[in-house]
Amino acid sequence: MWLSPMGALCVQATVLMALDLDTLTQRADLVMRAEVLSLEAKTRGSPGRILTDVELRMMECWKGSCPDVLTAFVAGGREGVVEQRMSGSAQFMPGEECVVFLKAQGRNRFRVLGMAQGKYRLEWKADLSEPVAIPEKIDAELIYSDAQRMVMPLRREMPLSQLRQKVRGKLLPVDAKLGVGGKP
Amino acid sequence: MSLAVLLVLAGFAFSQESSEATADYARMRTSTGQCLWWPGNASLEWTPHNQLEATLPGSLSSIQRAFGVWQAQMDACGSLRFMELEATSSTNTNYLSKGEKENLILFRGGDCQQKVPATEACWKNNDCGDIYNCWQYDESALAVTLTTFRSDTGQILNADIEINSNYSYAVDENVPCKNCFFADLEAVMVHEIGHLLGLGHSTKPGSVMSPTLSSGVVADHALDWDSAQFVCEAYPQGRAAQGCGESADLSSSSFFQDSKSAGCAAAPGGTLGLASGLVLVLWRRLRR
Repeated sequence: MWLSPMGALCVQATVLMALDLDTLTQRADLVMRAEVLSLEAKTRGSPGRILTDVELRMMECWKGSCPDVLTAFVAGGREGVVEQRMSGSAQFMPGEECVVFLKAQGRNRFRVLGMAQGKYRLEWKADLSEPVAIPEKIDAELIYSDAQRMVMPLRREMPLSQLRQKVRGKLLPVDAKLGVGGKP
Repeated sequence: MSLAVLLVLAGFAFSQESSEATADYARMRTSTGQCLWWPGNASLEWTPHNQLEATLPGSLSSIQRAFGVWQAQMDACGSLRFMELEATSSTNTNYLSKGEKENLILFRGGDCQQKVPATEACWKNNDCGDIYNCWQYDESALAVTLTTFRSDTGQILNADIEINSNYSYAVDENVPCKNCFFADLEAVMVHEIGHLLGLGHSTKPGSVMSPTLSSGVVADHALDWDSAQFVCEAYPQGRAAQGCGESADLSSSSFFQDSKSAGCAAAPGGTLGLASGLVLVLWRRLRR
């Protein structure tokens, strides 16, 4: 079995509705900062369908009840000389840190919400004290509504603390957002 | 003889802006850096699902028109012939290494999350969609293509396009979609077929391979000049399909898609592709 270093491939066609950060946050079952521990591509179930399991170690949990270690999966991978891709899927590399928006699929299974839209790669830059969250490149055709076109890009690079604040800010109860006394 | 004269003689369908113009397109690559290609000088068969029209009247003709856009360019300077096979009831979008490769195009509707118990094994196998014929992928996806290819050569083995019928699509520019957010199905399919052929996204405005699309009807589905050039250069008439020569250094690249560079070499399997095309023709004649 081939362990797939899925170093962000770019192949094929997928058409996705563009999702903004608010929508990702609302729809996700789990949002967490994580480290990629391992990747494993294998054929499962029906012949000719390759899946890659992505083992993630939770570093911070921003939404939901995140286990310490969980397995997400992405369609495609490489087994021997046969490679399979579904474009638009998030791609992972062992050892990388990321923020992922996950959706439960089946029992104890998670997929990345919005395909690659639900992943931010964390990158340390020399002059900063915290990592920068960089939206995953999306190999898919995105469809924007007219309203979304006015505020493009929907996902942009930002410091990790800012992303954390935006996600957690969306999850606060309404009265907490209003502040003490219930007024904005 | 100038390039322009050669292209005219070859029946080049696209108007040349300049005989010196260099096409700007990106090809899709394997994880080992090979460009993707179908064997040239052959038929590329695709199979519509037999419920396309029942799901969305007019959808089959939209898909056929989209193939027609690419076929016109193939006829002008390329070597593939799209061949529509008889509609099938199959909903399997796997690459069947020992069986029929259908290159299936189908709609899937409903939500597998609602339809299939969480304890079903298909969730682990990621084939609930095949078994229950429902949409198992991300709800934001309007269409996905699962492509299987050889990582060592780039030869495409199979590609299936699944369209999410939980969204609305326009199938005729004269019939506006009512009360819905919708995508122009023919525009989506022209784009998808470009990928099916191994063409990547383009940042050029107006390209059919642009990575973004607005909601609504697209008036013009014609190929842009660069996408047309891809057909001429990747699938030249009378020659093997063209790969990309040496593999790129991919170690620092976040995407394996890169811009076209000059000096493409014949795909390693190109001759094989030609041979397999001839075998296919012979086999069909023998069947008659």
